[in-house]
Amino acid sequence: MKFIHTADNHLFKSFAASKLPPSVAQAYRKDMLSAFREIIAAAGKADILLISGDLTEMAESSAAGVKRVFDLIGSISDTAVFLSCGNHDYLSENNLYKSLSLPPNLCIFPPKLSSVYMEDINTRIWGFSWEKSRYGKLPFDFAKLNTEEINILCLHGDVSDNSPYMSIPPEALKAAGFDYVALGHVHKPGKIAESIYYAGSACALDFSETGPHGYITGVLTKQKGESGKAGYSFTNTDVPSFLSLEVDISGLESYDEIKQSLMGQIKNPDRDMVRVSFKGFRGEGIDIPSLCEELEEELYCLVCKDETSPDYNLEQLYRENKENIIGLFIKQYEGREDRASKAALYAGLDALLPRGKEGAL
Amino acid sequence: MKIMKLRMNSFGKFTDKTLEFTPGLNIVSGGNEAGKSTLHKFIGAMFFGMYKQGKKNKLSSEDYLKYFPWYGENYGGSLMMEAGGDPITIVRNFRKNSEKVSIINEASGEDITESFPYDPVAKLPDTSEILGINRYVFENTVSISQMSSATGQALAGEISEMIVNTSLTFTPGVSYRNALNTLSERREKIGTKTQSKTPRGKAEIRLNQLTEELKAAEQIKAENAERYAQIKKAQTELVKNDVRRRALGKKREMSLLAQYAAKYEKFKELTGTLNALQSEISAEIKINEQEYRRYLTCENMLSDAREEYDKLIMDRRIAGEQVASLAEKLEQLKSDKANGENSRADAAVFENAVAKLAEVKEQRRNDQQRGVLEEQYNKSERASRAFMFSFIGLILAAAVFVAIALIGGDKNFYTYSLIEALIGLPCAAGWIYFLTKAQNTRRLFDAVVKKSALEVAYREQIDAFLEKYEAADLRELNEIFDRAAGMEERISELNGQLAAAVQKEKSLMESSESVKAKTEHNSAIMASILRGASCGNSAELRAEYEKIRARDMAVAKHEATLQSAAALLGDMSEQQLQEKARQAQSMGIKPLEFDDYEKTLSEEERDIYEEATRINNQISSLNGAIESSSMKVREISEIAEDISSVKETIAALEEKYAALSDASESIMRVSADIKSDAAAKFNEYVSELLSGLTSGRYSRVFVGEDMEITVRDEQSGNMVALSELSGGTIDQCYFAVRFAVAQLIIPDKALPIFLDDCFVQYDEGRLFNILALLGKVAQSRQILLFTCRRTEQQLLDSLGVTYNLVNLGR
Ligand SMILES: [Mn+2]
Repeated sequence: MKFIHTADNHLFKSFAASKLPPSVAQAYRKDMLSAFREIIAAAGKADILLISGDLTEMAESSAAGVKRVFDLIGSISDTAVFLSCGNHDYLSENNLYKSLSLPPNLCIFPPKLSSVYMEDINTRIWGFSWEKSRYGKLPFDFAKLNTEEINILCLHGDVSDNSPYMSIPPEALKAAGFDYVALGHVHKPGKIAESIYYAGSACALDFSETGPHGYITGVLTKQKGESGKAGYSFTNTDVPSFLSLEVDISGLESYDEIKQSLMGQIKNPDRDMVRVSFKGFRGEGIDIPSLCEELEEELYCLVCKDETSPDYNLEQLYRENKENIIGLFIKQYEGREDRASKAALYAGLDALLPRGKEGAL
Repeated sequence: MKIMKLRMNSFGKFTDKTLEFTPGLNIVSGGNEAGKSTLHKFIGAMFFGMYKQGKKNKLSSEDYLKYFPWYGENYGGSLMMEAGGDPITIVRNFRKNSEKVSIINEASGEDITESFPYDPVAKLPDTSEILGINRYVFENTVSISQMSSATGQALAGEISEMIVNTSLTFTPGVSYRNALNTLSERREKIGTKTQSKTPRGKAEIRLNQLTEELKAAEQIKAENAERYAQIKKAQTELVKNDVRRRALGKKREMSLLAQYAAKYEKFKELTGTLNALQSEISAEIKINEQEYRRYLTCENMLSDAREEYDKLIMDRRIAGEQVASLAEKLEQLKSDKANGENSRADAAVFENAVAKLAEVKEQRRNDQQRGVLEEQYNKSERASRAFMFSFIGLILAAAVFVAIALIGGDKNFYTYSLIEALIGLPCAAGWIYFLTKAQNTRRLFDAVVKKSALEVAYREQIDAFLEKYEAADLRELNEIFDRAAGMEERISELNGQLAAAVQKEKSLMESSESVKAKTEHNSAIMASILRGASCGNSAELRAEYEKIRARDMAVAKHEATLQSAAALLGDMSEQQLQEKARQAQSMGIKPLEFDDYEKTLSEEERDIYEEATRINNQISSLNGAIESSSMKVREISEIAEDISSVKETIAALEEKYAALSDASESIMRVSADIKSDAAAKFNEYVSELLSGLTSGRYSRVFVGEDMEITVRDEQSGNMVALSELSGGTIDQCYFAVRFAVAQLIIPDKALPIFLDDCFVQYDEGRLFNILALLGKVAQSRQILLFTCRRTEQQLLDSLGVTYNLVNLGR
């Protein structure tokens, strides 16, 4: 029997936190939907599709959007699709999964450990859907399995002994004896133990999510009285990648110099989604917002983070102006290292110190 | 600190130029392009280098290129000074990448570079340590140049600014007010939540809009979820309806079978009827339509002929009686005829007499009656006579007149006679007329008398006939004569009538014979028909004939029955129908007329169909509503992104706003500290300087609450606004302020003061005062006075102040 395992698709997610430009965010949401379509196409050639939670970002999904996803699932009517909801699409009161008509081939597990047996492939699929956004301990015990059948568990949670996102005790999980465990929640794909996998988020969902993203294809066979044989492979989804960069602009006097040092780090300016943190001291005439505006024209997506400081040599300034207003002003901020105080200090110096005039500092 | 000697290896226009200075007053003399300001820059550059100060990045200053040597490679030089009692030399190379600074203690000859603080940005020792001030303070404090503003008004403003700033910041050139204004402007540029036109206000509005939009999107999401739930419910109903539809299909199938069974029953019944009719149709009939019609015709004709015959017999009898009566009448007439022959002659005479009498009577009636005629005659006779006498008298009179005329000669009498004669003419005419009339009347009278005699004669003749025929009057007599005249005519008429009656009787006899023959013929035909049909009489024949009708009806019924049977079968064959009926029987379905049941079924079917339509309509209307409401709002994720971006903007703006506010507060706080102890001292010193420069004319300087500067005019005792002073005085005031700054702010370092063409606009008196002041100051402080003219030297000479002259040359 052949299965596809995907998780954490987070369809319709907002990229507010990642600060993606609206048009890029929108395009990326479409890319994510396309990736899901890719997965559906692959699942069309398999017996079952396991979705281990966070299929959609329920709070930010529209009814029409979820309907579209259901239509996609419904389009592979010969494949049985199983969904164990996660913390982002948990079965709340007004979860759209409850309002919409389910496609006949989709089974959403209830908020208690349940199973479905598929005779034609001698497989029993176990699942559990979240119904609240937090679970401490695993809210059920693993059942005793019939070893004659292929047993698959589809679950969203944190394989750990102590997590607020449903701790799945690793030893108990390993001991439960499933032929395959399709996990969701951790966005980095990975193997927990033999036949226990996190599929990872189907697409990268933030600048922090570097590395591969996609879905798992598995083949399981089991003869009577034998333990199952398995083979797994990972397929990357085809979406733009997130790229998080840092550029120290200290000593860089022109936009061109800064641009060069940034662009050198970007392979696909037309596709990559780039976040850059500008650090160091910015020279006179370097304005990060307008620099970013210029850069935006050359990149598909740019998220700018300005972590630079104005180029003031505070020690020297203080030394030279101890007795006058500048020195006294700097002294006001002595020992105040917080962001707001720093900002106030620079704002004050900026106003006090004449710029550009003959004889200016 | 005092500058003793400097050497410019290559700097601007200078190459290998060495200059030496003394500790007191130095006059650096040179023309306009001699390079006084280049020298000034060189001194500054030796202390501060040629890069921007106070930065974490090493950046060349604008001056680096400006003073790049015209000749020579060695961009740099050395400066020897006396500082802290030791002669120290700074050697500096400005050229990028080979920049170098070394500091040598000339007394010990040791390199003391290492003892200076290291500037990590410039990667050089910080030589400004020697001065203890930064380049900015150096430029603005110890170096005093010509007034930059030309007009008195602007000058006054500049001085005020300087006094105020110095008072408040104690940092020359750093403007407290400007700084606060700048901060305030920047705050205003950010604005507050409620200022709708500022970025912050706009962001707030946008945030509110987005929040509303999000609310609307959430609302629509909930509505659509509800709609989808309704769709889900409707789909369940649709499934239920479909179950009903399938059940109905089954019912309908059974109903059809029952109907077929019933149909088959009916069909069998019809087949029976057809068989029965078949015998009726094939029965033998002895008469046909044509024969029967002929029989009926003969029968009718026979009865007509009999009637006619009876009538003819009757007519014959009447005709016979008529003949007899006519013959009798004829005999009577013949005897009457003989009697009538005599009276015929009398009648002729009588008729003549009557005619003549009538003629005479007629004539008499036409004439005048006798008496009338007589009277007419007498009247005419008399009139005739009267006219005759009148005429004669007139003629006589006329003759008399003529005679008178003739005798008397009176001519008038002729006239009279003529008149008489003229009157006499009508009288003559009257006489003749009446005479004629009298004669005519006489004639008529005679004729009347003669006719009366004839009348009497005829009357007597008529009366004689009346008497003879014993007639009462003339009418009766005429009848008697007429009767006698008609007798013969009557006889011949009766003879005619008798002959006609005899003829008619004969013809009637013939007719009745012919009718009798016809009757016998028809009877023979009828008898033959009856015989042919083996019927004894007409009634039997009719009964036989009625059988044709019955057969025709049977045929028609047969035809109709066949059609009913065909209709019953419809598209089916009899075998098929039979098969269905058998099927129904085997399933235990009783044959039933399903008209009503069928009606119920089709009602249910319609109900099911309508229900399906209703549900489908509901679903599509819900889908439509979902689609249209989805079009109204953007995706929640999209709005959330916008909200987060606006919130971020707001946070950044607020952070910046807070920073600006915080900075403002800090500046105000520290300036208050400065103001309190230093400002008074500064004010006092400026006042003292101004008083010295103006020979005691203006003694005090005040800074008002609104930063307005006023000075006291000692001559008038009035306070005068700075801007109202003369240009020269404002110049002095400016110098006093600058000088006070230089003296007071860096008092302990005793740095040299650089005066750059400061007194060009001074009149001699003022210049005198100021040079006297400088002479005094120069005792404790090195002064470098840059000038392009000789006036200063001459005045100093006259004052007896010693100075060192450094000539830059042309
Ligand atoms: Mn997730």
